[in-house]
Amino acid sequence: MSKSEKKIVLKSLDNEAFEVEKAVALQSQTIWVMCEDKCVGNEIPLENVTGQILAKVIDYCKKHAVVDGDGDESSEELKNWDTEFTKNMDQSTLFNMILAANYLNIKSLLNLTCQAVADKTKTIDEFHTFLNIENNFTPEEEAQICQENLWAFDD
Amino acid sequence: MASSLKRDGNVNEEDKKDRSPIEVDPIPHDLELEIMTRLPGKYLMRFLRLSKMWSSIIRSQRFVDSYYAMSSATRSRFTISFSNGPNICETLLFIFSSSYEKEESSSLATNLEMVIPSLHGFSDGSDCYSVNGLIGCSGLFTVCNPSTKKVTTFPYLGPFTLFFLFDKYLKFI
Repeated sequence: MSKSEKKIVLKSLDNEAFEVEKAVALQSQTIWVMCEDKCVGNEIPLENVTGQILAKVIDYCKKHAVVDGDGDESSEELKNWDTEFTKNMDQSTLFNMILAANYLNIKSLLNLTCQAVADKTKTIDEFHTFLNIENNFTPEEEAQICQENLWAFDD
Repeated sequence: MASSLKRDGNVNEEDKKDRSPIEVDPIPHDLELEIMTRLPGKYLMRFLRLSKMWSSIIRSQRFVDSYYAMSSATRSRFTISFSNGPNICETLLFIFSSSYEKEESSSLATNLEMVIPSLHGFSDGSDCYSVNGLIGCSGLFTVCNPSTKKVTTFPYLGPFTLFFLFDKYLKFI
């Protein structure tokens, strides 16, 4: 296999192109299927992912590909890296990372980002905004739910 | 090669416009559920008042099943229960739990989950058992769920009552 065949180019929706090792990109089941079916050339357009998000996804895949390959780092270190990776992401980045991980079908990244949202989002208001949920309870109904589960509402 | 690819110069106005809808796309429902199943039990009870739809989803058997599958796969839990003193009238049962992740440590940081007030016949020689995150106490047969803080005591039917607890029933506790 020549050197160029081992590389793959991923192109984001805003036309940002990233050249990555095939092993890195194939962690995405979506890309894996595309390559397997030979329905794409060396360049894969990803129409649901922006360059900014794709760069982060690739960072994640690179980190995880290396570890799987030569076992240099312990799973503990990898876990710490994952924590650091999502720690400073704002809600909208996390939100887009979840959508990207879902679209690209990278299970471990989807797990990580969903868990990060669950860990960061603690108040009802944050959830209303984040998931775009409209509260359709009357104040009386809401008070009753609080009353039934009082212990859950004190910190 | 890599540097010329890094940023394609032909980003036109149309491409920039395409970027905005992605930011306001509603998150698909199955992904919302993915997030919900990863919340701690306490927050889940809080989020019963998110909306009518979410209230019924969180209470549904299907959600309970997937929540249980997720938490038993990802969270290990160490539960400790003890009661104070021999005087039945004043006996309290304390239930603590710990996430128990770092096994090499000899000390254990625990959270007080719940305190159950005096239950008749509770302290003398009664045992507590933990099954799937629920705690069952003999004496007057009592089942507690530390995640929802619910306690159910079964009726006393005689000295040799044998209880069978069905999975179906567990969802109501």
